[in-house]
Amino acid sequence: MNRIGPRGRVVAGIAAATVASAWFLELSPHNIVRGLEHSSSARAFFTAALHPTLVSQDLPDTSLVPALLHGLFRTLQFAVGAIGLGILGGLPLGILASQRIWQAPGGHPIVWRTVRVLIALMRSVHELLLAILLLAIFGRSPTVAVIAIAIPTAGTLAKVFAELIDEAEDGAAAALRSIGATPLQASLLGLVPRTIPDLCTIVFYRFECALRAATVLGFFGFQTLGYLILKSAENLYFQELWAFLYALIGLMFLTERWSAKIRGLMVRE
Amino acid sequence: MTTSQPMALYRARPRSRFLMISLWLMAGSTIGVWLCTDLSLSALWQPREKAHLSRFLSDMTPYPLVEHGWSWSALWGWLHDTLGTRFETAVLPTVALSVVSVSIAAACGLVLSVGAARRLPGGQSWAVFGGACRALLLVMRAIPTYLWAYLLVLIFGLGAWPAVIALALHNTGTLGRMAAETIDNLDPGVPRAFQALGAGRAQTATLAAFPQGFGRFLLFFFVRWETAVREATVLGLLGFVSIGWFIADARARMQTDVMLLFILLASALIIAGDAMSVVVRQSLRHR
Repeated sequence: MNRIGPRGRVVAGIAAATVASAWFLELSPHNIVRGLEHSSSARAFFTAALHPTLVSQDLPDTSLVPALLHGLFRTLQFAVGAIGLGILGGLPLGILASQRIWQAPGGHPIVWRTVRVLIALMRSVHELLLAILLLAIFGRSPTVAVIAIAIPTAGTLAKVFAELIDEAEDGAAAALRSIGATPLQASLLGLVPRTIPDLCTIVFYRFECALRAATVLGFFGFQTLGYLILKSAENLYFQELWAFLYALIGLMFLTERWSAKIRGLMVRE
Repeated sequence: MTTSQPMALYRARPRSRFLMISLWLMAGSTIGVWLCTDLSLSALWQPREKAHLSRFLSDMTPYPLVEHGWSWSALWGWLHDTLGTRFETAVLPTVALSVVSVSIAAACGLVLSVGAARRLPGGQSWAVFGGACRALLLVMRAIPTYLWAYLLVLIFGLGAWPAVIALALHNTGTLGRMAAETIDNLDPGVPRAFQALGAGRAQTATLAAFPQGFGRFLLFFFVRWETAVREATVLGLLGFVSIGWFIADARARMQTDVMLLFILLASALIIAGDAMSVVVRQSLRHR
């Protein structure tokens, strides 16, 4: 056993957990084959991938482009609205949750501990489940979707921001303290600006997550790309379905390229 | 003279028109979406919504407490009846699903990252294949897990495999890309040494890049596992056996109190998973 180092032990542990889980779920290779054989719509689905269409398969003289544009608009609207609220809520919470700021002499440790619990709760509820709850209370309006996506987003942004503040370099803050700034001033002006590059990365990442969440919310009645995909799928109009899937892939691709380019430029500046 | 130098430096800084336009676009759209489109927080606080809220809060109270008034034993009895038999059926499949899927995703992601990384040795023949790997990873992560699962259920019906494959597909895309970026950001010395010895791309990747990047790979594995637990919970809404199934079931029966209980159970599971992942990561950091 002493030939397996700590890394090997971790990998072995993960492998053991995987095998145990697979056994628990009764996964077996021949189930996949059986599933493939029994599916008649699989072939229709995959051949339709090569023939996407933006003309409605239901009413052949209606174009789907207006519906697609509306779906894209709603998806982007929800994501942008959610990231706005997420930043607005997440950044102050992140400062409140920073161990370094509140553990310092003169600080109140209870602040960061309570806020961290709050953040954990915010992050633990999935956007879909929040949407179900909020739909029951407030009915179906776009703001409900935005709030449902914004709450976990704000929680994640707050957590990452707090960790970044805790791990930021002390140089500037120490300099500020030495010229007489209060600890809080030194932290806010010295530590927070150091976190901005990494914060931008995480904000862009969460924006992409918000786009995906907005798409999935379409399954609950909101008119995003997911709704269009659901409607086409229910009627087995696979060609329309693939057109919307390509639109989604294109949207995610463009977003990733754009955010990568911005991050590249900001690093250089 | 000394006060104008910072201004001169500031004016001479390199500016990118793309960055300026993008920043204005981002700021403008973030504000514009609240002012110019149909989003509005105040619309949610109308009398009708307030009535819904008070009714929802009363629906939320567990049924025995509504009937017989508040008592700890009644609450405990209700918890025991509702959760009792369903606890293992709800929680264990969710966790098992997440573990299997992320492990498969990690393995496939690593394999694809050999192609998708940009800084490994390999000439023209790898350029096309690398582009294909990157495109494949992009498609896999562009489609959310829930959507993959819906499509797989549509074609192949319900079962354990569609759920596992859906989670694994999305996470392969994410983990593969993270692995490729890690490989690209590694210290180039060791891979170059391997290349000088004549190693090919796959050999360099497995023998040089993977050991170097192991720590980060493990970190990403645990981060994605936390997310996978979250997603697995919600996959139950589609019909798979996980906590989400019980949530959908309670919702269909209009049992708001039971639905809320299972949502809280899901939250507790995710928080537990989060805590466990932090513990494992910290213990690894001290090795």
